[in-house]
Amino acid sequence: MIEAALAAFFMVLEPTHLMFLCLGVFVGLAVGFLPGLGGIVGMALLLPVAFQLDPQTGIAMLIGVAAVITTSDTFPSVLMGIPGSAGSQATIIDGYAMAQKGQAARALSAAFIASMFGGVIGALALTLSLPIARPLVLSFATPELLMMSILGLCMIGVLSGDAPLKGLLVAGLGLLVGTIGAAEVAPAYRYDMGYDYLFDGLPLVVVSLGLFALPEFVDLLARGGAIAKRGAALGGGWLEGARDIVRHWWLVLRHSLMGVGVGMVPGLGSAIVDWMNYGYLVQTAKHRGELGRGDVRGVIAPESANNAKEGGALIPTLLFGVPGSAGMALLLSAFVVFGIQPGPRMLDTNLSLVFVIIWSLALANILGTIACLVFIRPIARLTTIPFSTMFPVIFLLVTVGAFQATRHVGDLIVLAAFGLLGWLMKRHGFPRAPLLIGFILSPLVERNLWITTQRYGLEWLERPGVITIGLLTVILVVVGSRRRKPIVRHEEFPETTETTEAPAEAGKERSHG
Amino acid sequence: MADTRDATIFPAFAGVPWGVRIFDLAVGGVIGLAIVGALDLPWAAKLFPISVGVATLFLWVLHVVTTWRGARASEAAFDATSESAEGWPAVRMWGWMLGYLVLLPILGFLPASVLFVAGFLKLEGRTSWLTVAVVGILALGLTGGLGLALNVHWPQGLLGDVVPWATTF
Repeated sequence: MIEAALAAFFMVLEPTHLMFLCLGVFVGLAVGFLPGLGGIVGMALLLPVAFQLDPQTGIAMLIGVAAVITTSDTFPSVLMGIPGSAGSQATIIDGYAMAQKGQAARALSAAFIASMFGGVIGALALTLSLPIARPLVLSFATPELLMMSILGLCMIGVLSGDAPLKGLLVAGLGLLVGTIGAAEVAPAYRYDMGYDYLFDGLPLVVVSLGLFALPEFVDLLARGGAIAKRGAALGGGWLEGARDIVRHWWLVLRHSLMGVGVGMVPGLGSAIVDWMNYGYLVQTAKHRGELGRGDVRGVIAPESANNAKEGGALIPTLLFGVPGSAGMALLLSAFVVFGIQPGPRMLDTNLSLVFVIIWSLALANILGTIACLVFIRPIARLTTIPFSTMFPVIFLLVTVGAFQATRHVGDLIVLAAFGLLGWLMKRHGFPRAPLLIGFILSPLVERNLWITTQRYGLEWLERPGVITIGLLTVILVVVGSRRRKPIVRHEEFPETTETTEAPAEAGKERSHG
Repeated sequence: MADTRDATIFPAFAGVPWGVRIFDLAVGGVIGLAIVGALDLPWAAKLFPISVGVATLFLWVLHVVTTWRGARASEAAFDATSESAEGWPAVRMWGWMLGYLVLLPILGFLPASVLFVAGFLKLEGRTSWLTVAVVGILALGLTGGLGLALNVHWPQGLLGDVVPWATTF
């Protein structure tokens, strides 16, 4: 294992590899500071480029995107009181309040450094999980993997937003959309309506861009140019932010580990990781001090956690082939395109790739933090450019990304159709992430179901692993369905009147997955 | 988080809006079509879509019953009233995006993109011609570069038959 880790380390440091990792980090930073655009959009944008590369480089680039979005999304949260992505909503409460007091620089530097440590701790947790999980994971056969997929789908359905029933319904729809095209286990085409375009099923990149990017564009544009007028001055206090991290090292460690834990549970992910950590901080803080009115601890806790969760989310993705979030589902599908089967066998056949991912995750977090600290002023200025000015550039890139999927006009039609569907789902309170995850898992579930029933008949239901995971699924679904209470109540922070947008935005971002 | 919902949603749900009903019915229709469309397939090919379809239909019925009765009313309209853009601005933005996606195969990449970028920045962004030029060059340069790198061949549109360069870089 150590040899594989060392080999992967030197592979990550190769110039080509490093260059594409930096490209991923750059795109991740750019997407992070654009309010409303999350990791899925960033990864979907780079998927076409990734598929042109070798698996190690392509996947490292995608990891680069996912790793740093939660670093740069702090800019709009602190400077404008608008969440840059789903993971930075709680940062607004204290971060924006600090900016109002002229301490934006201190809040940002504390957030960046906390993010870096969070990301590195996440990568470390992933590394440590390998020897522990290896024997367990390798004992899994197809029936257990099938049950894990079902558990993942149920959790994602139940935990996406406040509507568990809708989450499960949408996950079912995603499974159905995934059945379009050639059948997995029989020589037949399903729902092709006579169009050759549909023989291979719907392209993942187009579906994900349509579902997630287009609805955000419409809402951001229709909301107008308010973003540009609300930038706060950076002020000084960079070193103070670094000192805050040293002073509150325990918070960084504790919330990073909590972030890893949250990331590991499929479906929990980015939507609540920051609120959960912020809520825990508020409940456990001995001295509430300025919490809620501009306390640096309120920035450190969620920022450590939201970067660490990526390491956590990679654990079920890599080891069981069950994505921890919609972004991880995209990564999972990238594996499949590269011909790599995620799951237990990865630890045997692709251990070096696993370590490439771990090193890339750690390195991307460090690079992202350095970039944010070095280029803080120009990046802060970029956040004040109206979205309407940037939109044509981004939309053209999205169109290229979508059209290259099969180079067929059908790509453009599917992009528009799923864009409208995503927007309608958002309007009607349907979470979109379960649809994407169901879509991606559909062939996997069908194949595993077929192999399981053909090989084991009904006896697979009596396997101890299957029964255990089945019981765990039922328990988690029941507990998850009852989880209705908000983690942080807005009344706790009556003083932060400037941040009243946060809860409303939280709802919006929730469906990002 | 939940307070916005409490404050804004419940009053809106005295009755289920028609938009919600139509969307719900459309979702049900799609599930129904998926089940019916799989019936004629060979056994191995139809087993999975029909099983998933029936389970999803069951969830849909549960959803409709609870939502339309009002039990889950707050969730059904959560996104609808709190943040999603609606009305004329949203229609206009969809118009720009769909318009570009329609024009692309008809006019070819270059003319459609120039029209889209210049039109959007002038009419929606109300920017200066200088900004239009800078953003236009950036947009076309980045997209063209990416297109070249990925070896993308744009659809040969109506104009493309007459002026081949319009569809390619």
